[in-house]
Amino acid sequence: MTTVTTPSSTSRGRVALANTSSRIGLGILGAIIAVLAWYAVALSGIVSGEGVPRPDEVVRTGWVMITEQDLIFDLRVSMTRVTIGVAVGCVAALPIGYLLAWYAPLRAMAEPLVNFFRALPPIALVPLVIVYFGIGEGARISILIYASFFAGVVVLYEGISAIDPLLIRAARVLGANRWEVFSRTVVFASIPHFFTAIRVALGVSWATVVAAELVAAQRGLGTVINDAASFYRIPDMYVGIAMIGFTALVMDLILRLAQRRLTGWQEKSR
Amino acid sequence: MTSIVDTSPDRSQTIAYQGIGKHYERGGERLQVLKDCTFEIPTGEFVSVIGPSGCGKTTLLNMAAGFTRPDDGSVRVGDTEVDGPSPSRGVVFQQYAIFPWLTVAKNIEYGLTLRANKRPRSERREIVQRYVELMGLGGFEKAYPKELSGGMRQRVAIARAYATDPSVLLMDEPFAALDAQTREFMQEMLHETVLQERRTALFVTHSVEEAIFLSTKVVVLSTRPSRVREVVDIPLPMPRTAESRLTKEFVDLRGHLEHLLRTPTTDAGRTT
Ligand SMILES: Nc1ncnc2c1ncn2[C@@H]1O[C@H](COP(=O)(O)OP(=O)(O)O)[C@@H](O)[C@H]1O
Ligand SMILES: [Mg+2]
Repeated sequence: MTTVTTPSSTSRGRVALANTSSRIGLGILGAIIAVLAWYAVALSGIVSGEGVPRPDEVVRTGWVMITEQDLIFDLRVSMTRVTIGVAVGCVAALPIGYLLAWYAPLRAMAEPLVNFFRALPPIALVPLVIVYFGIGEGARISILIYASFFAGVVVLYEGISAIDPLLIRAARVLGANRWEVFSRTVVFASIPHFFTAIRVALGVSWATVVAAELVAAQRGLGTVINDAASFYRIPDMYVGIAMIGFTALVMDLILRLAQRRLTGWQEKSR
Repeated sequence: MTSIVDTSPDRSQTIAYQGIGKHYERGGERLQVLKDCTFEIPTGEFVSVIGPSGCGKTTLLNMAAGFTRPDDGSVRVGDTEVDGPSPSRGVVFQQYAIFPWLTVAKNIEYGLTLRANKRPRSERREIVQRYVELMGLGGFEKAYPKELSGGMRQRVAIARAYATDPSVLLMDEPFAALDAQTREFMQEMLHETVLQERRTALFVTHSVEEAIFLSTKVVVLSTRPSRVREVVDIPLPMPRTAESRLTKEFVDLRGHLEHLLRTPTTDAGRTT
């Protein structure tokens, strides 16, 4: 099963974490270490050619881009595309996920196909998308929908088919008909998997946004990176990359908070 | 003195296993689990089925629940043959199987909100309240299963099974996962409930002690392919208490049943 949650497991061989604040503290420590390592690489000059800009240079460049080139607008454009892509992709994945989880022959038929399409790098689809969908907003978003759908559908059918069959039996002996088994049992048991699917799709979509914006986009974080690359503005590329990373991080955090609130009943939540 | 042994000829809730045969295929091998297995749980009686692990106890219970079909023979409740799950046959599972996303009260209420046995809200509240009290769950109505101990989870499951007012109760090693002390407490609680809420009950266990304490009869299965080795009457007076376990009759019955389980089956050992 695909899971993005890290269990704060107390099982043997793993180190358990005492509480939330120590987890946040350690997260910050990890980030500090990463920035220090970045400084070390940038100052050592081991990367030849253009070299690696220092973090403070990137921050300064970022500030200039925000104030003078309206980088926040690019962020909003990309965020909108990703959100639409994830929303449409996951909504489409939902019924398919249920069907594949429910009907084993269907799943046996579809599983290799799903894994085939899921493995295709989105950037390889860009030329095809341009041929069939043109260069409009719809074409760009369709790449994100594609990526979200295949990421989400796998999480959904694996999660849903792992729902404890005993709960379904329990519902049936209490008198649930087929519809009630679905609407009053399976749906609730799948809620944790909805969240996981959305989070995985979101991650994949942000990872795909640069490719999607290769389709003649005027604005967007992917476009910022692509343009910076064509003009050899190395710090600008770092700014775009960091913005994507941060935004993905924040959106995932928000989803995790919502998940914890809505699936607080879960035995091993977090 | 209350007695749950019914002397009337009422057969409306009698569970009758008639000539049951069942095999499973496993890795191309044929495993004959049950063969010509026949016994009855008369209306209103509490009957335990014991036997070595893997002898087919769960398979038998699942047939009465409507989850599994026999290859040969039939399972009837009253005069209808079982062909699928029904809320008239409540099931309690060893692994509790309560819904983790529902509170204790909502779990107990679950069956009463389904089309098959829908009750008005006020009646539902009454029923829930009644079983919350009977099962000693007061104060935990709004708790989620993850906050409960194993014993409490199983009490929720029992309350949930009772709430839809099934005519028979099927319990598959419901206390097997609990520690010894909790288990005795649960046995006593179930026993009291059974005396108050008389229903035909099939109870699967591998604990001889538990079987004697709760039952009016104990069905002992042989090793695979299983048939009924012996049906032992448990004539201990009701209600049974912690002291019942210490009486000579109890100890003698336990000796007899343990002997049956220990000694390998011979065809001569088969009685009805
Ligand atoms: N669905 C199944 N497929 C294959 N073998 C099974 C299946 N269910 C049970 N068995 C086998 O049948 C035998 C009896 O099982 P069960 O009824 O669960 O026994 P008990 O409850 O007495 O331990 C066991 O050996 C078990 O492995
Ligand atoms: Mg069993």
